[in-house]
Amino acid sequence: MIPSQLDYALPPLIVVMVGIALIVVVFSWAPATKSRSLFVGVLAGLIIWGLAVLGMRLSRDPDNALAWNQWTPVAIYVMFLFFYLFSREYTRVRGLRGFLVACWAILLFAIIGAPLGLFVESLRVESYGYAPVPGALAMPLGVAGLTVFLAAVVTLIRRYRISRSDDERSRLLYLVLGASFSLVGALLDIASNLPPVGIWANLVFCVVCSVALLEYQLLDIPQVARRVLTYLLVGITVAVPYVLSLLLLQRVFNTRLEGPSGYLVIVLLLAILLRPLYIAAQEMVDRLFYRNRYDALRALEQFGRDAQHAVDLDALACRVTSLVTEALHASRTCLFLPAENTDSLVLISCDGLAPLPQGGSFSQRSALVCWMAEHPEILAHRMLDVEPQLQSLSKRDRSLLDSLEADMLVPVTSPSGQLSGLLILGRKRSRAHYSQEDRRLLEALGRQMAVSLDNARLYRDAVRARHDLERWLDGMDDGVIIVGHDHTIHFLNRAARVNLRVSAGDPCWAVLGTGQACTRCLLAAAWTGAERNVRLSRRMRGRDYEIVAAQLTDQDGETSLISVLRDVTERNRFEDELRQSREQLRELALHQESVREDERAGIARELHDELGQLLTAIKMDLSWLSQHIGALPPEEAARRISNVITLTDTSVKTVQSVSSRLRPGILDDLGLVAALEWLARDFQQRSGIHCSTEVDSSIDIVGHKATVLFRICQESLTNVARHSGASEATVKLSRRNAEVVLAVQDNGRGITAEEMESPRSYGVMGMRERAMALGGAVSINGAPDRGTVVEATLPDA
Amino acid sequence: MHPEDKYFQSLTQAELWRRYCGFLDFSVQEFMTVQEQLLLDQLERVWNSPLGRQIMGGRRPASAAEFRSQVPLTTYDDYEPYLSERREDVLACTPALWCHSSGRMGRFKWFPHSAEFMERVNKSCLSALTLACTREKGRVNFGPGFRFLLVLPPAPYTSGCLFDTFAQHFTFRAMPPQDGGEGLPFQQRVAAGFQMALRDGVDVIGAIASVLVKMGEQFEEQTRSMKLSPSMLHPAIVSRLVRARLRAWREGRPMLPRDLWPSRAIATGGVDTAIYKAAIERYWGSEPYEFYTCAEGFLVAIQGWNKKGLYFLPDIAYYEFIPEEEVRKWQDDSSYQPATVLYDQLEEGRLYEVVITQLYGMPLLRYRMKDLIRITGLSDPETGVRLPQMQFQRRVGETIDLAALARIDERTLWQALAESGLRVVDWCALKEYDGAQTYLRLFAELKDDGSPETVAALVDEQLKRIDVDYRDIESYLGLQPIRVTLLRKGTFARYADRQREAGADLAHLKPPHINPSQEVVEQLLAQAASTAD
Repeated sequence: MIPSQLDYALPPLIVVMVGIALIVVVFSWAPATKSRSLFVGVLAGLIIWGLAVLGMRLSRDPDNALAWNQWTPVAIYVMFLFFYLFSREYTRVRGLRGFLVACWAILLFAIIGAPLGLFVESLRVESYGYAPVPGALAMPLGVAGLTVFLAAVVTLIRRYRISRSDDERSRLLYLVLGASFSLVGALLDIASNLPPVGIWANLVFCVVCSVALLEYQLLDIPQVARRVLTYLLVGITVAVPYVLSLLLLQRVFNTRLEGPSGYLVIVLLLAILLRPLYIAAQEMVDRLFYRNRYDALRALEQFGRDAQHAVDLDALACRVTSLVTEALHASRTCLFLPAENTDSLVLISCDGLAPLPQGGSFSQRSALVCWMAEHPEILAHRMLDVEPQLQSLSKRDRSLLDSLEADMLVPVTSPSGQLSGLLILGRKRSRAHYSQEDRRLLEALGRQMAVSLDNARLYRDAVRARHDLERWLDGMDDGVIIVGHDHTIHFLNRAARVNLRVSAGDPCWAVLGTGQACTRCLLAAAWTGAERNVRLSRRMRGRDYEIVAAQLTDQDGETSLISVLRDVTERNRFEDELRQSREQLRELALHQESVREDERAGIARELHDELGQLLTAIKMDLSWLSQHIGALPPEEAARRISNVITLTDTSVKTVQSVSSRLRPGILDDLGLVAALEWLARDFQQRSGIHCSTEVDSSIDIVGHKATVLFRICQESLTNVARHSGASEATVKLSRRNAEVVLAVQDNGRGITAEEMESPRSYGVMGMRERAMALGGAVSINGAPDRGTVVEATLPDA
Repeated sequence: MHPEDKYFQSLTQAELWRRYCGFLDFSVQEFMTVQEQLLLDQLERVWNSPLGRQIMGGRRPASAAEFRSQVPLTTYDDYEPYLSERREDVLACTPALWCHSSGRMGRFKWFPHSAEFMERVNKSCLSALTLACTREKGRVNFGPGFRFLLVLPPAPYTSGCLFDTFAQHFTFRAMPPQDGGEGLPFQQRVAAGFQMALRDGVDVIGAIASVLVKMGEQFEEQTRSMKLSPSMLHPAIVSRLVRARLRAWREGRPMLPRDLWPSRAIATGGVDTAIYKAAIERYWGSEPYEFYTCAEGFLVAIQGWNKKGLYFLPDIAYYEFIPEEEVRKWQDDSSYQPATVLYDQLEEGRLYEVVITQLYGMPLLRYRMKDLIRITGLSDPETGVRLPQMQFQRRVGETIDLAALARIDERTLWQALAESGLRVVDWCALKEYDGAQTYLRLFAELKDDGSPETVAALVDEQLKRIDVDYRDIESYLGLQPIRVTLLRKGTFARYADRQREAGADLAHLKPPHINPSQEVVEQLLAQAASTAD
């Protein structure tokens, strides 16, 4: 009995339609290669087969049906032959030339033999429709067809085994899987009496193979299988309890459940009651069939958690490498990150490799880094031999990758698209290839890693910047204090801590050393921002400070106050001293002018009173002599002349006296030592104070230095005569180290500190100024009733 | 399995194309990036060698710009004291092999080559073969085990070295086998190769263009009266002959080599390739595929898949170019240091002398090749390649300067002879003086009879057509600047025999085409006289 026309003709019609659609799809989306053309031959064979079966099924007349059916073996053979040709071209595996010739010869024979009934002798009518009765050569043609088909499968498998391209391997797996459908269908048709399934199997084969040829990334076969199994299991898990429950309810309530409303109630009830079961089933499925994905998601989740808390870059890098190794079952994982001071990517962390290779870094100019920066995608190590830009990789970089046994190179790319690191994975521990799923996980990890590593790096940079700033601020002598809006000290540098004895967290008024808040804040203008900065001076904890304060506003608009406190105590003291010194100098100058005027007056007086008188007397004597020389007796003339000579001697002495007071000639003629000795003697004669000398006669100082020492000695002895009340004085001249030391010591009452510091001590001031002008110094020490010592030191050289 | 075979096994066709021909997708900038990366690597390596330091002047350049400004241009004279002695102690790495140039310029130049460089060269050979065997982008039409018919001088000639190392890197079937026929004379080796090819077929044929044409001509003449010899009684040979006869019969023409050997590629070299392109295609059925080779860099530039302009290979050497004007300045004053331009500064239509810096630790730095090339285009719209294309023009100085008005080079003369319709066995030309006049003296051996005047007129006509400057000579000076001496038949063959007997190298069997020495001319004329006797 032949089934209804439509039901019976539908399958081959579907095959023909799908075959045509596949040709369109393959031509549109598969790469234009010779292998594509050959695959179209396979699809053409499918269509011919479909048409032959369609013709047979539409024929009521068995003879007509037989005439159509006789071409089905030929069509199948054409399919298999073109699949073989396709496999050779696709894999570039050269087969035996003789085998190919034999294949074509068999086709020729099949075309000739088909109408002769050599392959389909007749048709018998079965319950499902027509069933072909094999002809005499049906079996040999079937064997030949299967041989050709198996040869194609073997060719694909051979290529699969040697191929290193993941994409190609995936496509080959699809092709082999598709071929297995066809093979199973053919075997079932040959070996069983079941309704024909070969037609469906071949349809599936063609669909799967067409998909394998399209220019899209394919899903991994294991992943597809997992999905199918998962849905199947979930379906069973859900369906079995449901059906059982339904049957049970039906049995219990018998006919009361009839009607759609009853079933609806049951479905809803079951959905509520069985919900925990569904959840448990889903979890089980996740664990069983999504194990890898589950691990991956766990890994991502874990990384996210770790990254939130990890701010130490090195620790995070270690965590990243160990996590990737664990999640992807890699033999090793190495992470390269940009170095701080060089333009290289440096090996920061490596999991599964010890010790780390020396000099593990890639220059930013390296072909690999340039490539990764431009192509932020995962790169299989083998692509180093494929990509033309990467073929210029330096020997050093290649050696490094070899030493790491790199298999996958994953760019760690920041959201802005910059290469912020490089993750290198060794082979899988199982020696298997990294799947598409692994790649996707790596991509996801790479993205997440980039963000976390960038954050960690930014944090590190921020911490470092803060440390640098703190170090720099601590190096300042000025105190720096940042006071928060709550009037507590948020930050203070070392100078502020030490000098003001406050610490972070203290209230701001603690800086003033008071225990209470200020009634009126002197820095209010800075706080409010009314003035850009506020300057003021203040004495705190016994020291003078100059304070400059300004408002700080952070990104959140929170204001605080930064104050720089400069300790100006010393500066003020110096300024006072300088002011005093200037006054002293001014008074000294006045004093010296007055002394000079006094001396000039003294000299004028002496010249007028003494020398003038003498010279007048000499003149008068000489005038008298000139008038009376002729009348004078010789004795009187001699006496008068003698008188003039005496007066002249006296004049000369007066001149010498004045001159030596201005500058002792002995200093220039005989040197400092003799001059000091003369001065001591002269002092003793003039003052009546016993004055001894202890001088090192080897000291030979001349010129301005000698004058300065002489004048200091003269001034000191004058002070002894005027103020000390001493009975004895000693002048010492000696050499100490590289200095000449002049000391004038007396046994008088001793000079007091007030006298020494008195701004009116012009003598002392003059001595100091003279010594300082030559790089020396004068020190004066006195003790009550134990005399005074004036010590002047000048450099010897 | 040889190292490169594994790629053919494990890579997909697209990946293979990318590996070998991917550089044709480069932009000029990408090309320069690769060049610079390799140069910096090279500088790091060469700095460690005494010779490198000497050439670099004792200071290591930190960048390509510094390298170009600091290191002077060099010639073989700068390296000769070390390289002619083959001193490895002055080099940056131990060379894998030493090979020498043809010695065409009067002396052999020895060059060391590192193992890493030879790997690149072998990869480049596969690039050339891939491109030679296809007319379509992305299609790799050959694989390990391909049959290669070619006859080359043995190592240490550059081509012999290249062949030997290529054979160690990739599986192919050489015809004749290199190890078996080394002792045989050149002609016999060619014959042995064709005998093998007749039996087994051939995939790629490699020869000089003029040789291929000559063989085609001989074949065409011989097949008119071809008889089967006992050596041809092999089923494969008979089958091949029958198929070839049928093919020729179907197209109504005599049997040609292309009927016997429908090869995938014809790899040729020599300046005459462009001239004989049509003839090669007619005889051998494939468009000739050209490449630019030299002893210093082996394979420097190759054609694309459309068999047009030549493209420099980015990973063979670092390239600089001296514009022709600068070369002329240097020719006028040898102390002049010509300026160079880089690959990204080339201009279409201009002539440049090629300057290379070897890579992978080899010693030549800024080395003047003395080869002049013409940039024929800065990109190829037909193929979409965005790199400059070039054509070899001539060697620097290998021109005949006529009255300072025209410079005739080998390529121009080849073209004039080919297009004159004359059937020339061989030729050479030099500049000759007659009083104050300068002439181009052409020595030619014709296959047919002819008079010197006729030949001169024909060649003159073609030269006027080809070379604008040449055309002006007659109008300015009122003279025909070409004179021809016809040599008797067999002169060049006798010359070659004589040279062979004298133990000359393969490169010296034929006289140079342009400016042969007086000694060579005298020998040639002596052979012409003896042929007459």
